[in-house]
Amino acid sequence: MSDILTILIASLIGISCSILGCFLVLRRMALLTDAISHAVLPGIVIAFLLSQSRDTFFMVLGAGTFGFFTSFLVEWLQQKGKIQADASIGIVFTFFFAVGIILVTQYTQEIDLDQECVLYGDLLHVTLDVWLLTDGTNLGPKTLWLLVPLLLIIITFVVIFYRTLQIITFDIVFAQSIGIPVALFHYALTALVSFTTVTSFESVGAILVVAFFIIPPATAQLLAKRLQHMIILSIIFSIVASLLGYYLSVIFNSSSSGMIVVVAGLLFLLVFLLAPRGGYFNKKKLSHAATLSS
Amino acid sequence: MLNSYTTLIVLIGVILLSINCTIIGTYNYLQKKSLLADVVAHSILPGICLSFLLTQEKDFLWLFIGAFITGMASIYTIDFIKRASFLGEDTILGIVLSFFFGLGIVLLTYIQNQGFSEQSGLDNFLLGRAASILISDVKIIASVTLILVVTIILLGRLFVAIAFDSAFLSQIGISTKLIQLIISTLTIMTITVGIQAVGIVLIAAIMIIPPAIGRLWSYQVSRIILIGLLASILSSLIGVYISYTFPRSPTGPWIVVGLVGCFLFSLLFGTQSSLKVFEIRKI
Repeated sequence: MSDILTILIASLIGISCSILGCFLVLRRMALLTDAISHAVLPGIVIAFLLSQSRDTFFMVLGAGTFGFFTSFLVEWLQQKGKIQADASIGIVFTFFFAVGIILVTQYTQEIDLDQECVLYGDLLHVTLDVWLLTDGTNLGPKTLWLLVPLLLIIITFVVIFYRTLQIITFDIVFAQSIGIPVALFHYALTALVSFTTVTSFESVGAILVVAFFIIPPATAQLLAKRLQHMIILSIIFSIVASLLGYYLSVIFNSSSSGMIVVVAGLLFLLVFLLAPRGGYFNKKKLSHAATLSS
Repeated sequence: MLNSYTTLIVLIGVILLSINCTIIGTYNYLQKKSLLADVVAHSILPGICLSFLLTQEKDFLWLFIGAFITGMASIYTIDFIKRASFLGEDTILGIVLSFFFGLGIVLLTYIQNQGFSEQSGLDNFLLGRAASILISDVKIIASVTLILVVTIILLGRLFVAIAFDSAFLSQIGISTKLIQLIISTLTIMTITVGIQAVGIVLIAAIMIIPPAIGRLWSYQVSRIILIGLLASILSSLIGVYISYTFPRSPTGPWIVVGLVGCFLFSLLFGTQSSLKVFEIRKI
């Protein structure tokens, strides 16, 4: 039973991340997820300290604030400060991460958050952390009660604004010209990324969550020609990675989140080499045929 | 503070380390490849774990070789995918970074769950422990500093040329691949020897922020490096001082906070800053 629950949690995280990840990868914002996932750390710690509890509402609020901040600062440094793009991302997220680590080590007694958890999370521990009512009814892992609503919110957002998101993703100038509030959608996406990061934080950690956002959508992008297909494929890839990764991690007695990422990476490699359209070997064969014919 | 011998060792180690990072970081910055340092730093973890698994001890040389191999592998994987696919560069960086780091975490947790007697301290590589710098580490860091300085004196001009006009370089018959390989090698060396002290995430900061500070004051490469060095040495002093005064505070993160302080100052007052908030208008 706990096996199924762990895989379910990993898959739910994977699905939420993949859906958002498709838009991020297509909009060349992949590294912003890396930045946000590091930068929500101080937000989480400050929320812990202020509320003196692991109250999810405060954690999501804290993380959301810092996620927004990161996205805003990166943009501001580039636009107003004329700092080159790579450096402005690098400066913002390492700074927030450093502040987060200082806070974690400073208040390690007050808050129940260790440094390992920050980096790679613990899926098994999250599965065992169940929600018990006062009369002893077991409602299952607490995380599930967060992940399911979050996924519903993401799906609703994407379904309602599908056309708009599509236009913004593929032709931002056109989107602006027909009066779509591009900045608003940008920050809505950022907010959803921050919420997803903080919800999956304990399960997969700050660094590995980046893989959940980027790898399945990138794999799907190598195969799909349409946005819908890309989203569906990336969901399939993340579920397969969760399933295989979990069982491999049991066999090798190691971190399940780490193993899921490794499997996702290997799937990417496989598709990258063998994809019918843009695959490495296929391309080589094509260029070889081209040289022969000329 | 300097009375304590161990603190002095830590201080010297950290300063030399930030000198290394600033010098090589500047050349990566000029090529707009700052985030490559972040990827390499994450990719070193599986190498360290693998060589520990093979040798069962924390011998520096073997850890270094392992780190070097996976670090180099990450750089070549990025190039390989970039050449053969239409994926954006940021996506590729993200994939390679998180894949190698995931692999590292799998190996690290495997080692920890096996319960090898020698394994304690491997997790220092994640967040770093400047306090654990020994005199032997300082010697290694110092030799990297020496190698860096000599290489820069000999090849610095080529490193600049490759950032601004690599076509020119290949035209006069210099292999840009070779120069790129040298820069990559120096980057991996710097990160590998420094990672135990400041950790994976924050070593990237010490490579990225100083050149950004230098660039806010000058457009000459030598001055960018000098100003960057000034800022990173100052921040190292701040970091070591704070963690010495408040023993529970880690050194690495405070160095980064110091650097960001210098960066904000430069953003406001720097002669090359586009903000020029406090610039006195000439009439």
